[in-house]
Amino acid sequence: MNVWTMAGIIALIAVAVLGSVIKYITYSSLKDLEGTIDTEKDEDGKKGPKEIGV
Amino acid sequence: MKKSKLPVLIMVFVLAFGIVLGSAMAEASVTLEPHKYAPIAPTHSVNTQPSGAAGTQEETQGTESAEVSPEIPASDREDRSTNICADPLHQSDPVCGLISWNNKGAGEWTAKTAATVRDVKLTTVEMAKRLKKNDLQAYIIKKAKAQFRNMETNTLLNNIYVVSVSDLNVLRHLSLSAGSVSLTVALGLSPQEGGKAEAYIQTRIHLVHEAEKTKSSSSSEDPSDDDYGEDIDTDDNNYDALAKQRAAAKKAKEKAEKERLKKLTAQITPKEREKDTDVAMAADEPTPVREGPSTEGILLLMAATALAAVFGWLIRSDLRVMRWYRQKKALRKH
Repeated sequence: MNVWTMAGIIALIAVAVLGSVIKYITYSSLKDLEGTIDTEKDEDGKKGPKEIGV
Repeated sequence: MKKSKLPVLIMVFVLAFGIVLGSAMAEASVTLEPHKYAPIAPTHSVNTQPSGAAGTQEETQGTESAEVSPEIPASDREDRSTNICADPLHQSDPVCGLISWNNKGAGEWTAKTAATVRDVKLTTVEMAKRLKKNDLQAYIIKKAKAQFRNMETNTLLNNIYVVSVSDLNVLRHLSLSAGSVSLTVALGLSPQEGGKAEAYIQTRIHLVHEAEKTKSSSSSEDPSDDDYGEDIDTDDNNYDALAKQRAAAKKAKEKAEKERLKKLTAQITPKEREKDTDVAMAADEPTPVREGPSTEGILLLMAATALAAVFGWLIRSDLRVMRWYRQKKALRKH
């Protein structure tokens, strides 16, 4: 196998693993945040996120 | 640092990590396999002249028994006296090969030579002419050089020099009568051809009577004389035209051969080339060319970049939603 092929495979694996880990962390954080917000009630008594401009 | 720049930075970091890791692996591979990138060993260049040009009507296959020149060291004699013409594979060669290349380690290339007797017919008229012009030695050397070939490719070798010519004085003292005499022409390889190696060719000269009347006819000239290098005779009026014609034909042949080789090289696919490299390495031949990135390697690196971009986009989306939630949370507090 050519060394450059090997380098490409390793780069692909590294990107896949690191990307997955970071994505998992961000996703978990998001879910936690979502859970916190969903359990809180608005002043009008409604649950869940409120439409605001981003 | 703004939060919006974070995914881009992550993407860049992940990509850089993959590239650095890949490059490190490539370098490690070079270190682990140094033989793959060994320096270029001296190789022999060969004349591209087709083999048919060397064979002349006057040169006939010699006997297989050969007397080795006294200059050959006794230790080498057995090795050098190996007659390649005894090999059935080479018996059909018009002029059977004399040299087989042999890597003896430490980058030193030597030639294994075979002493072979070659018969050269020389007419008494020709002999007289050469003796008169005092270029008999050059003629004999030229004849011997024409037989100095690479065994593997059956092509003539350039850049050879004459080590010694034995018994040449015998020829000078010969009466111009029919008969034969043996002499040994020792030839060496110049540094371009591999250095110290020497080959010893025994050439037997046959003197053949020729009637005086044929002297005036054009057939008295040896046609093989013009095959290599400069011809010794200049008194022939047709020589210039003939030489020009032959030079043009030779050039055309060389050009055609070069083009053919170029086409063949272009036809070889990268996979076949890689296979050839493997075969060459298996045969312990040095591979001087350092490999560049292969197609697969480039495609895989591109795939890694694309994957990094996808992950970056996904992570960025998550972060945007998180920011949105945080903003909402902050609004609620107020």
